[in-house]
Amino acid sequence: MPIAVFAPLAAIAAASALLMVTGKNPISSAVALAVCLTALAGIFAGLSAHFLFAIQLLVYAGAIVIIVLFVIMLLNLRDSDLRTEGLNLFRGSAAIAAGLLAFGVLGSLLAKARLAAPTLPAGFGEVRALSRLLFSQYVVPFEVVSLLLLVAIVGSVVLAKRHF
Amino acid sequence: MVGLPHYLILSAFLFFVGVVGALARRNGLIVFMSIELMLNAANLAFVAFSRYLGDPGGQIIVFFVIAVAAAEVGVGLAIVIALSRNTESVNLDDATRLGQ
Repeated sequence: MPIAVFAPLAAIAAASALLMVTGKNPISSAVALAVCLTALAGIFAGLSAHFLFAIQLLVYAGAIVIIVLFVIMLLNLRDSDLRTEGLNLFRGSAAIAAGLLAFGVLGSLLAKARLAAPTLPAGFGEVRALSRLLFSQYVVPFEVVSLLLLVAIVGSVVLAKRHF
Repeated sequence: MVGLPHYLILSAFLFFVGVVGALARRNGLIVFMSIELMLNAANLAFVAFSRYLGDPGGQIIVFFVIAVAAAEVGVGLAIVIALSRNTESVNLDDATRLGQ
Protein backbone atom coordinates (compact mmCIF):
# COMPACT_ATOMS: atom_id res chain seq x y z
CA MET A 1 0.00 0.00 0.00
CA PRO A 2 1.66 3.27 -1.07
CA ILE A 3 2.09 5.95 1.59
CA ALA A 4 0.10 8.42 -0.50
CA VAL A 5 -2.97 6.22 0.03
CA PHE A 6 -2.25 5.13 3.58
CA ALA A 7 -1.44 8.53 5.09
CA PRO A 8 -4.74 10.27 4.23
CA LEU A 9 -6.79 7.26 5.30
CA ALA A 10 -4.89 6.95 8.58
CA ALA A 11 -5.20 10.70 9.21
CA ILE A 12 -8.96 10.57 8.55
CA ALA A 13 -9.35 7.54 10.84
CA ALA A 14 -7.34 9.12 13.67
CA ALA A 15 -8.99 12.54 13.39
CA SER A 16 -12.52 11.16 13.25
CA ALA A 17 -11.79 8.86 16.21
CA LEU A 18 -10.70 11.90 18.22
CA LEU A 19 -13.80 13.80 17.08
CA MET A 20 -15.98 10.87 18.11
CA VAL A 21 -14.54 10.69 21.63
CA THR A 22 -14.57 14.45 22.25
CA GLY A 23 -17.95 15.19 20.65
CA LYS A 24 -20.72 16.61 22.83
CA ASN A 25 -23.61 15.35 20.76
CA PRO A 26 -23.97 11.56 20.27
CA ILE A 27 -25.25 12.10 16.71
CA SER A 28 -22.05 13.84 15.62
CA SER A 29 -20.05 11.15 17.43
CA ALA A 30 -21.91 8.44 15.51
CA VAL A 31 -21.24 10.18 12.19
CA ALA A 32 -17.56 10.53 13.11
CA LEU A 33 -17.50 6.82 13.96
CA ALA A 34 -18.96 6.03 10.54
CA VAL A 35 -16.22 8.10 8.87
CA CYS A 36 -13.55 6.32 10.95
CA LEU A 37 -14.92 2.88 10.06
CA THR A 38 -15.08 3.79 6.37
CA ALA A 39 -11.44 4.92 6.42
CA LEU A 40 -10.52 1.63 8.10
CA ALA A 41 -12.40 -0.21 5.37
CA GLY A 42 -10.17 1.56 2.86
CA ILE A 43 -7.09 0.42 4.77
CA PHE A 44 -8.47 -3.15 4.77
CA ALA A 45 -8.78 -2.97 0.97
CA GLY A 46 -5.17 -1.84 0.79
CA LEU A 47 -4.15 -4.85 2.87
CA SER A 48 -5.83 -7.11 0.24
CA ALA A 49 -8.67 -8.06 2.58
CA HIS A 50 -11.33 -7.52 -0.09
CA PHE A 51 -14.08 -9.51 1.61
CA LEU A 52 -13.53 -7.72 4.91
CA PHE A 53 -13.61 -4.40 3.07
CA ALA A 54 -17.16 -5.17 1.93
CA ILE A 55 -18.18 -6.57 5.32
CA GLN A 56 -16.75 -3.56 7.14
CA LEU A 57 -18.76 -1.20 4.95
CA LEU A 58 -21.97 -3.26 5.06
CA VAL A 59 -22.02 -4.38 8.67
CA TYR A 60 -19.98 -1.81 10.55
CA ALA A 61 -20.30 1.49 8.72
CA GLY A 62 -23.75 0.47 7.52
CA ALA A 63 -25.78 -1.59 9.95
CA ILE A 64 -24.11 -0.90 13.29
CA VAL A 65 -23.83 2.87 12.89
CA ILE A 66 -27.42 3.03 11.60
CA ILE A 67 -28.67 1.11 14.66
CA VAL A 68 -26.75 3.48 16.93
CA LEU A 69 -28.31 6.47 15.12
CA PHE A 70 -31.79 4.94 15.40
CA VAL A 71 -31.36 4.39 19.13
CA ILE A 72 -30.10 7.96 19.63
CA MET A 73 -33.22 9.25 17.86
CA LEU A 74 -35.44 6.85 19.80
CA LEU A 75 -34.08 8.08 23.13
CA ASN A 76 -35.14 11.62 22.27
CA LEU A 77 -32.39 13.28 24.32
CA ARG A 78 -32.85 16.86 25.39
CA ASP A 79 -30.08 19.45 25.56
CA SER A 80 -30.06 19.17 29.34
CA ASP A 81 -29.14 15.47 29.10
CA LEU A 82 -26.08 16.30 27.05
CA ARG A 83 -24.85 19.05 29.33
CA THR A 84 -25.01 17.05 32.55
CA GLU A 85 -21.72 15.34 31.77
CA GLY A 86 -19.20 17.21 33.90
CA LEU A 87 -15.74 16.12 32.81
CA ASN A 88 -14.05 15.20 36.05
CA LEU A 89 -10.38 16.24 35.92
CA PHE A 90 -9.25 13.25 37.98
CA ARG A 91 -11.22 10.81 35.87
CA GLY A 92 -10.03 12.41 32.63
CA SER A 93 -6.36 12.30 33.57
CA ALA A 94 -6.69 8.76 34.93
CA ALA A 95 -8.30 7.69 31.64
CA ILE A 96 -5.54 9.33 29.60
CA ALA A 97 -2.90 7.66 31.79
CA ALA A 98 -4.54 4.27 31.29
CA GLY A 99 -4.80 4.91 27.57
CA LEU A 100 -1.15 5.97 27.33
CA LEU A 101 -0.16 2.83 29.21
CA ALA A 102 -2.11 0.72 26.71
CA PHE A 103 -0.62 2.71 23.82
CA GLY A 104 2.90 2.39 25.23
CA VAL A 105 2.67 -1.34 25.86
CA LEU A 106 1.03 -2.06 22.51
CA GLY A 107 3.28 0.34 20.64
CA SER A 108 6.53 -0.92 22.13
CA LEU A 109 5.55 -4.53 21.47
CA LEU A 110 4.13 -3.99 18.02
CA ALA A 111 6.54 -1.46 16.57
CA LYS A 112 9.27 -4.12 16.73
CA ALA A 113 7.33 -6.42 14.45
CA ARG A 114 9.17 -6.03 11.18
CA LEU A 115 8.06 -8.48 8.58
CA ALA A 116 8.64 -8.28 4.87
CA ALA A 117 5.37 -8.47 2.99
CA PRO A 118 5.24 -11.91 1.35
CA THR A 119 3.84 -12.32 -2.13
CA LEU A 120 0.31 -13.53 -1.62
CA PRO A 121 -1.36 -16.41 -3.45
CA ALA A 122 -3.97 -15.41 -6.03
CA GLY A 123 -7.35 -14.74 -4.49
CA PHE A 124 -5.99 -14.03 -1.01
CA GLY A 125 -8.69 -12.38 1.09
CA GLU A 126 -11.40 -12.97 -1.46
CA VAL A 127 -14.66 -14.74 -0.80
CA ARG A 128 -13.66 -18.11 -2.22
CA ALA A 129 -10.46 -18.47 -0.19
CA LEU A 130 -12.04 -17.26 3.03
CA SER A 131 -15.16 -19.38 2.70
CA ARG A 132 -13.10 -22.53 2.09
CA LEU A 133 -11.32 -21.86 5.38
CA LEU A 134 -14.49 -20.79 7.18
CA PHE A 135 -16.40 -23.94 6.33
CA SER A 136 -13.57 -26.36 6.99
CA GLN A 137 -11.14 -25.35 9.70
CA TYR A 138 -13.34 -22.77 11.40
CA VAL A 139 -16.73 -24.44 11.03
CA VAL A 140 -17.31 -24.92 14.78
CA PRO A 141 -16.73 -21.25 15.71
CA PHE A 142 -18.91 -20.31 12.75
CA GLU A 143 -21.82 -22.35 14.12
CA VAL A 144 -21.23 -20.99 17.63
CA VAL A 145 -21.43 -17.45 16.23
CA SER A 146 -24.78 -18.24 14.62
CA LEU A 147 -26.05 -19.43 18.00
CA LEU A 148 -24.65 -16.27 19.62
CA LEU A 149 -26.48 -14.07 17.14
CA LEU A 150 -29.74 -15.89 17.83
CA VAL A 151 -29.30 -15.45 21.60
CA ALA A 152 -28.44 -11.77 21.08
CA ILE A 153 -31.58 -11.18 19.00
CA VAL A 154 -33.83 -12.78 21.61
CA GLY A 155 -31.97 -11.10 24.48
CA SER A 156 -32.15 -7.61 23.01
CA VAL A 157 -35.89 -7.96 22.30
CA VAL A 158 -36.50 -9.11 25.88
CA LEU A 159 -34.33 -6.33 27.34
CA ALA A 160 -35.90 -3.58 25.27
CA LYS A 161 -39.51 -4.69 25.82
CA ARG A 162 -39.40 -5.39 29.52
CA HIS A 163 -40.27 -2.70 32.02
CA PHE A 164 -38.03 -3.04 35.03
CA MET B 1 6.06 1.86 1.06
CA VAL B 2 4.06 1.45 4.23
CA GLY B 3 5.28 -1.30 6.51
CA LEU B 4 3.71 -3.33 9.25
CA PRO B 5 4.68 -0.89 12.07
CA HIS B 6 2.65 1.90 10.45
CA TYR B 7 -0.53 -0.15 10.62
CA LEU B 8 0.21 -1.29 14.14
CA ILE B 9 0.90 2.21 15.40
CA LEU B 10 -2.38 3.42 13.86
CA SER B 11 -4.08 0.45 15.53
CA ALA B 12 -2.50 1.25 18.92
CA PHE B 13 -3.50 4.90 18.55
CA LEU B 14 -7.13 4.02 17.79
CA PHE B 15 -7.10 1.67 20.79
CA PHE B 16 -5.71 4.50 22.94
CA VAL B 17 -8.49 6.85 21.83
CA GLY B 18 -11.06 4.14 22.52
CA VAL B 19 -9.72 3.47 26.03
CA VAL B 20 -9.77 7.17 26.87
CA GLY B 21 -13.30 7.53 25.52
CA ALA B 22 -14.61 4.50 27.38
CA LEU B 23 -13.06 5.60 30.69
CA ALA B 24 -13.45 9.38 30.62
CA ARG B 25 -16.86 9.87 29.00
CA ARG B 26 -20.07 9.32 30.96
CA ASN B 27 -22.54 9.39 28.09
CA GLY B 28 -23.52 5.74 27.67
CA LEU B 29 -23.80 6.00 23.89
CA ILE B 30 -20.32 7.46 23.48
CA VAL B 31 -18.80 4.87 25.83
CA PHE B 32 -20.48 2.29 23.65
CA MET B 33 -19.02 3.74 20.44
CA SER B 34 -15.58 3.89 22.08
CA ILE B 35 -15.79 0.14 22.69
CA GLU B 36 -16.60 -0.33 19.01
CA LEU B 37 -13.51 1.75 18.19
CA MET B 38 -11.33 -0.53 20.34
CA LEU B 39 -12.71 -3.59 18.54
CA ASN B 40 -11.84 -1.97 15.22
CA ALA B 41 -8.32 -1.17 16.38
CA ALA B 42 -7.85 -4.87 17.14
CA ASN B 43 -9.34 -5.74 13.74
CA LEU B 44 -6.82 -3.52 12.01
CA ALA B 45 -3.94 -5.28 13.77
CA PHE B 46 -5.39 -8.67 12.79
CA VAL B 47 -5.74 -7.70 9.13
CA ALA B 48 -2.24 -6.20 9.03
CA PHE B 49 -0.68 -9.32 10.52
CA SER B 50 -2.75 -11.49 8.20
CA ARG B 51 -1.31 -9.58 5.23
CA TYR B 52 2.28 -9.65 6.45
CA LEU B 53 2.24 -13.30 7.50
CA GLY B 54 0.31 -14.38 4.40
CA ASP B 55 -2.14 -16.22 6.67
CA PRO B 56 -5.87 -15.78 5.98
CA GLY B 57 -6.70 -16.99 9.51
CA GLY B 58 -6.44 -13.42 10.79
CA GLN B 59 -9.17 -12.32 8.41
CA ILE B 60 -11.42 -15.14 9.63
CA ILE B 61 -10.92 -13.90 13.19
CA VAL B 62 -11.90 -10.39 12.08
CA PHE B 63 -15.04 -11.86 10.51
CA PHE B 64 -15.93 -13.40 13.87
CA VAL B 65 -15.12 -10.17 15.71
CA ILE B 66 -17.50 -8.28 13.42
CA ALA B 67 -20.24 -10.88 14.04
CA VAL B 68 -19.75 -10.66 17.82
CA ALA B 69 -19.71 -6.85 17.60
CA ALA B 70 -23.07 -6.96 15.80
CA ALA B 71 -24.50 -9.11 18.61
CA GLU B 72 -22.95 -6.78 21.18
CA VAL B 73 -24.54 -3.76 19.51
CA GLY B 74 -27.99 -5.33 19.73
CA VAL B 75 -27.73 -6.20 23.41
CA GLY B 76 -25.79 -3.07 24.40
CA LEU B 77 -28.25 -0.69 22.81
CA ALA B 78 -31.15 -2.57 24.41
CA ILE B 79 -29.43 -1.99 27.75
CA VAL B 80 -29.03 1.72 26.93
CA ILE B 81 -32.75 1.91 26.10
CA ALA B 82 -33.69 0.15 29.36
CA LEU B 83 -31.33 2.49 31.25
CA SER B 84 -32.83 5.62 29.77
CA ARG B 85 -36.33 4.32 30.49
CA ASN B 86 -35.48 3.83 34.14
CA THR B 87 -33.34 6.86 34.91
CA GLU B 88 -34.51 9.29 32.18
CA SER B 89 -30.90 9.79 31.10
CA VAL B 90 -28.07 8.00 29.37
CA ASN B 91 -25.49 9.21 31.86
CA LEU B 92 -23.77 6.19 33.35
CA ASP B 93 -23.33 7.95 36.70
CA ASP B 94 -27.12 7.82 37.09
CA ALA B 95 -27.12 4.03 36.81
CA THR B 96 -26.45 3.40 40.48
CA ARG B 97 -29.36 1.21 41.49
CA LEU B 98 -29.53 -2.55 41.29
CA GLY B 99 -33.09 -3.14 42.41
CA GLN B 100 -36.16 -0.95 42.68
